[in-house]
Amino acid sequence: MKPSKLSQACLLDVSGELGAEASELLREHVETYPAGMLEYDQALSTFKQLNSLPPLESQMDQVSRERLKQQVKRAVHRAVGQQQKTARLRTMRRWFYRSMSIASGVAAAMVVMAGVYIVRQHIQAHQARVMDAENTFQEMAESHLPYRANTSIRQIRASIDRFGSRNMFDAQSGADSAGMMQLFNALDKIPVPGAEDGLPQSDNIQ
Amino acid sequence: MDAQAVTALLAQCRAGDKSAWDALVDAYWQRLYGFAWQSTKNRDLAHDLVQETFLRVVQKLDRYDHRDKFDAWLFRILVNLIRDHSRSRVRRPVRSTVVDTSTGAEMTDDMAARTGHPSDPVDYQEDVQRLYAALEQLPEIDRQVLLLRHYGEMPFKDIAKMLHCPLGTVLARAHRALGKLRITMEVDHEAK
Repeated sequence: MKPSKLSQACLLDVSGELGAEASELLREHVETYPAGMLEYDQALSTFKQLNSLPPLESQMDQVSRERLKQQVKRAVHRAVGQQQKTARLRTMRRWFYRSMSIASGVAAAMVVMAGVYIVRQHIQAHQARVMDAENTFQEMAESHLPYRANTSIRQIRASIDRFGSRNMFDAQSGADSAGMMQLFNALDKIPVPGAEDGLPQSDNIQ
Repeated sequence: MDAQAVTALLAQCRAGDKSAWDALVDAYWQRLYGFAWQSTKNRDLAHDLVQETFLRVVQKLDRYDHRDKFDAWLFRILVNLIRDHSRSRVRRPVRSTVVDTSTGAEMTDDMAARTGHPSDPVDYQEDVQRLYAALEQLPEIDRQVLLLRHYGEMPFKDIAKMLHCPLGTVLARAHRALGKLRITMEVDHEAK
């Protein structure tokens, strides 16, 4: 065993920290080697000397010790109380901020929903006004068209024209229709009284 | 106090049980105070430092790692406070005091060294004073190991954990310190 290890083992043994088995081995070793025994004796005597230092009980009476201990306890109680108070405040503050954030979120959502509703209402009202305006305009335009009475006459004339052209095709294909064609042509050549001079037509002119 | 009891007590302390805090102070105050007193040689300062140690425990208990031994954690706080105070004392010296056990009155170191206790044998008292003086001459780290072992009642294994160094190093320091103490005491005896 190295001297440094021996001295450490001796120190552990005399301080009562060496296990029973290791302690037994150490004793066997120091009994075998005189130098080891000397080392052990020195460690033992010095350690005993250290243990001769007076303990606290002999240096301070019970009352003083108790008084100091009570002071420490009071300080600890104050610190614990302060810590609990701080923890409570922290918890309350956390709950306050949490509830405030929830309320703010709800309020913000309500504002957004109200905004969307108002905008939608505005758009619908605008569309309704536009449609009303269009309808009104159309009705007014139709009721104020010029020569409304002549329109039907022109439509009848256009129908007769279409009928004439279709019958012309049929007349060209059939020899029997030649007479009808001549009749129509003749009718066309008849001047309409009043159409040129703008005078109203009368039944007795024909 | 065994590890399970300490764990249960700390759980109660965490829950804010003041009687559990009282029990914790009862369990550790004397060891802490004895160590602080012998380290600082000042009764009031030792009291302040021990009180501050417990207040730090109140503040930092949530951060305490259960894998560490509570004793070691507690004494580490105190040792750090003593070290911080020693650094500040370089700038502002404090007159150290001890207490006369017969009267409870505080005296300076020199007065205490000169005054014998009437009820104790004179030789014993002189030996104790020489031992204190020899302790004072030790390097701080060596003295700390011996005081933690004697007044802190900590095993060398826990001291090693507390100081974050191997057990061999702590034992070597203790062996060296005890050797110096022995030599100092022998020289004093021969001189006498």
